[in-house]
Amino acid sequence: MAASSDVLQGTLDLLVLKALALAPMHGWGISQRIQQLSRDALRIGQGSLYPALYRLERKGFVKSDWSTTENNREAKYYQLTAAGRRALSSEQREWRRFADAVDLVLVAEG
Amino acid sequence: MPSVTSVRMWLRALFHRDRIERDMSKEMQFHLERETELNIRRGLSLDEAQRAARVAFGGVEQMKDASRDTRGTAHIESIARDIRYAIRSLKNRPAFTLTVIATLALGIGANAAIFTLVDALLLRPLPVAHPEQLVIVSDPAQVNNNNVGSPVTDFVSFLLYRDVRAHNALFTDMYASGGSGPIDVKMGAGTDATAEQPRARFVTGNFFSVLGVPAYAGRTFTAAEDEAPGEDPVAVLTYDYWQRRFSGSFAAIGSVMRVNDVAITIVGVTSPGFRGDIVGQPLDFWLPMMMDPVIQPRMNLLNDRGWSWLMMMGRLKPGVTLEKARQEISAIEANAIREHLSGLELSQFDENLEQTPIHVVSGARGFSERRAEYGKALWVLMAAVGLVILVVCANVSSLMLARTVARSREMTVRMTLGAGRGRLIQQMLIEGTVLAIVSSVLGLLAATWGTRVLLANVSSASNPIAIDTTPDARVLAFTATMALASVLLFGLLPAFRATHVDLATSLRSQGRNLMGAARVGGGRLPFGRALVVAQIALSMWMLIGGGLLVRSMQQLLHSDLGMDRDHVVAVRVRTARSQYVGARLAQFRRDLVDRVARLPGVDAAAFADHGLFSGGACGRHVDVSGFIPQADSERQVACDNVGPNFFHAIGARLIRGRDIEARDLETGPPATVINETMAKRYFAARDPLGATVTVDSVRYTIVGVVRDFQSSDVRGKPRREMYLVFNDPTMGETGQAKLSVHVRGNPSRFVGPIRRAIEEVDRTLPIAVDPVNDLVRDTLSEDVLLVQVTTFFGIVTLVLAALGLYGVTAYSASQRTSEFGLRAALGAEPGDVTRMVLGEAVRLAIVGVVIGVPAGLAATRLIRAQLFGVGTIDLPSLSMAILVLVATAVVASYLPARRAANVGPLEALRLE
Repeated sequence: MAASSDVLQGTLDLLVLKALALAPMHGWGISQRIQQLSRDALRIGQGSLYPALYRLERKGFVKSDWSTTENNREAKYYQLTAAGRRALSSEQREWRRFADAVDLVLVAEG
Repeated sequence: MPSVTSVRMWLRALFHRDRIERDMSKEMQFHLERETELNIRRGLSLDEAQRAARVAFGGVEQMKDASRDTRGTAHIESIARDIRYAIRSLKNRPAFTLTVIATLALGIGANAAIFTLVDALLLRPLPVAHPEQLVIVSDPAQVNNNNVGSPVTDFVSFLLYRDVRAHNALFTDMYASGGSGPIDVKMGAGTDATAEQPRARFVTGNFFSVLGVPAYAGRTFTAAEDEAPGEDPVAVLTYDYWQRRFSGSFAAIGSVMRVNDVAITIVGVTSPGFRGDIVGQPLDFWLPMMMDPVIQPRMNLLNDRGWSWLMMMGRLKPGVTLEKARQEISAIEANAIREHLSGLELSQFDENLEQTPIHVVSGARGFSERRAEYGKALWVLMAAVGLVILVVCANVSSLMLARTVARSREMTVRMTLGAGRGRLIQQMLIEGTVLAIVSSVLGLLAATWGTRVLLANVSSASNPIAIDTTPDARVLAFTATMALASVLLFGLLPAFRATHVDLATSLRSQGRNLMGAARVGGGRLPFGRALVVAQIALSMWMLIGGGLLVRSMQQLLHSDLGMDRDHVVAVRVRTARSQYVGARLAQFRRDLVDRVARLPGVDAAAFADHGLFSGGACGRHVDVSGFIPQADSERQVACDNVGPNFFHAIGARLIRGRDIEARDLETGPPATVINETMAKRYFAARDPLGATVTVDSVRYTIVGVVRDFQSSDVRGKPRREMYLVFNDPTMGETGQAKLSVHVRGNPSRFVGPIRRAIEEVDRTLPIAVDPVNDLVRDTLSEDVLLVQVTTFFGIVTLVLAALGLYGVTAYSASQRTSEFGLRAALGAEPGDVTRMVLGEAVRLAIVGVVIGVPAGLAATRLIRAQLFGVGTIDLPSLSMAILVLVATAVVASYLPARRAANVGPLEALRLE
């Protein structure tokens, strides 16, 4: 839990993109989804979620629209753009390479 | 690498700020509500659920800020917000805003106005192709004795121009131009055609091609057009003349005008910006040099080396430096002059050349006599308006400071809440910038108007000045720099001062007023006081300089010129190209004198060739009996030809001998009167009466000695002068019959009667009648300009300093209201409080004076050249200046002092 708010900067963008790849969602939904998928291991500090969303929007990876939730409430929904999809797959590859590399180092140490 | 999307987002962020902010709040709100709902479902109470949600979310505002940062418009947004805020808050304080804008506009406008003149006259290059390649050979603005002709300027003869042009290898080409004498122009063919006297110049056929000036309409001269005398009767007009005289009609091109009764075809018009190669002098059209013998017959200007009347300008070949031209061209010119000299004249020429070399100077800014005439005065004015803008900035600065002190509570609160000092300073600077921009625009408008007024003031019919005063890019750039500098000056200081707040102390002292003001922004405004002292010191500067100029002006306008300046009227009747020549002209002069002398109230009238302050002068080489000159320069004497009763008619005093009399015109040896300086130089202890002076092999007998008087220049040192009897009608040079008329009473009243008397003799000739003092004043136009403008700005700075002092006194008095109340309660008389407040203001003024006087005295050395008849330390004007300043200080602080004295103890307590 303690580590959760310190999600690496680049990683946060990746997680948001991944969460949105499944379905368009509002901000609160994204934070819930990441928390749920990580089995509560990752909890996104909302203070960094929205800046990340705006940043991604500015880069053209996501776009947003106001629509109504299942409970008939107005919420801003984010969805991936084509550019966002491309970014997601390359970020995913990057992350794998990075994680594998870190893994190799850790294995050698052990 | 910004993508299209991101640019669009950025623009959207910038222009739809409000909607984005609303969206963001809504989104955060939604998030918080969902979080709260979740917490409630987990079993928390509503309160706890909301609190937990907010904690989990973090600070809403920080969040928003961080999000705004990702949009990349935070900085611009804050500026835009500040601009809106500044405009709103300025609108809310119209009195403050109007005061600041008015004073700033005045300061900036004054600077822009003077700079416009400085730029047009002193800095701006000629509007021609590559002006930097132009070179003036023999600079008419300089004094040079090398050329034959006028000893005071450096003109060349046409033949000399031909020699230099033929021999030089450094110029692609060179041209010559010379002013015409008085000419008249008739338009149309009928007998009722209007005659006017425009200003024309004779130029060589390559004038326009060397300068690279194209025709605006029609064509300019071709080189082939200036080959043979009298062959090409054509003219090119200036744009201004075309507009004024022909209303810009294209039909004018190809039409014929009669110039001195010679039919001349107008072939073209030059562009609006080009006013000739002489800066500051109005011009109407150009004529080919070769037309001179036809248009001005009897002058023989083209074939006589004795007539120096032309200016020369060359265009350097690419790669040739001015320095190289200076060496080679002056050698060529010197050789060309030498070729026609021999014996004594040759050795004298070489001797002179050692002292005054031939001037070869850059021609980029064109020729200008006005530049020499007004240059110094303009720089003095530039310095004066520089002082004005400093005072203005100090004033605005203290106004802004007073405002920010009034807003200190707001500042303190905002800084306590974490607003950065930089943000507050930015906000204040933006407020300053808004003020400066509005003021600059107003100032520029005022400047355009102001320069016209200034020019109209110094221009006179006899001494017109024509320069381009429309603000160009340079003037705009100057004004913008001015505005920016003032913002920094008046905006930055108070901004730093006001945001330099000791938070703890200032919060504690807010509202605590008894026996001491809030110490925000420096307590009782020591910074404001420093500004007032600076303003007073600067005004002191201005008053000292202005006082000296005014005193000098009085001397110039009223000094004893050695003749009766207040009772002489000067008359000029143009006889050139009239029926009056030879003996008829001589008779005409006598008739005029006889007629005018019969007018009631006229004491005496006399004719002369040049007379008083007519702008003309002549010099001769003389041989005086019994005097052996050591050098040629010792033979030079200024001279005039005068008729009977001349000295009586101008009110000069004869020391010895007699006036020129009527009998001198007839028979006997020609007579002359010499002045005191000439008598002392050539005769020392000998008696000059009866001695002879030989001029052009005519021997004149000295019949009188006259006390020195100024005949052409108030400032001139007395020089050797002689007055030869005007008995040879062919001797006159000026083409005018000139009379001096001595009258009883105000000379202005005689202008009309004298004119009518002359019209009785001949009503067809152009007549000018002026009191001599008016002509004297014309020669002093730049002094008048200087005095009027410095006086005006002196008053402006004084008023500003008074306002500043008033402001500071009123503010500090209001801050001490409770103290005064307490004093009153303890038995202080109202008089005591008044004296205390007044004393403080006067102390400030005295500090300003003490700083200002030495600084001012040091600076007066810069205007020494402009002064006449006063030293740079002039006690009367200095003490007057100090008196005026201290009196102003008392007046400015009297009201606040009175108000302070009337504070009752109850009133003071009620404030707590």
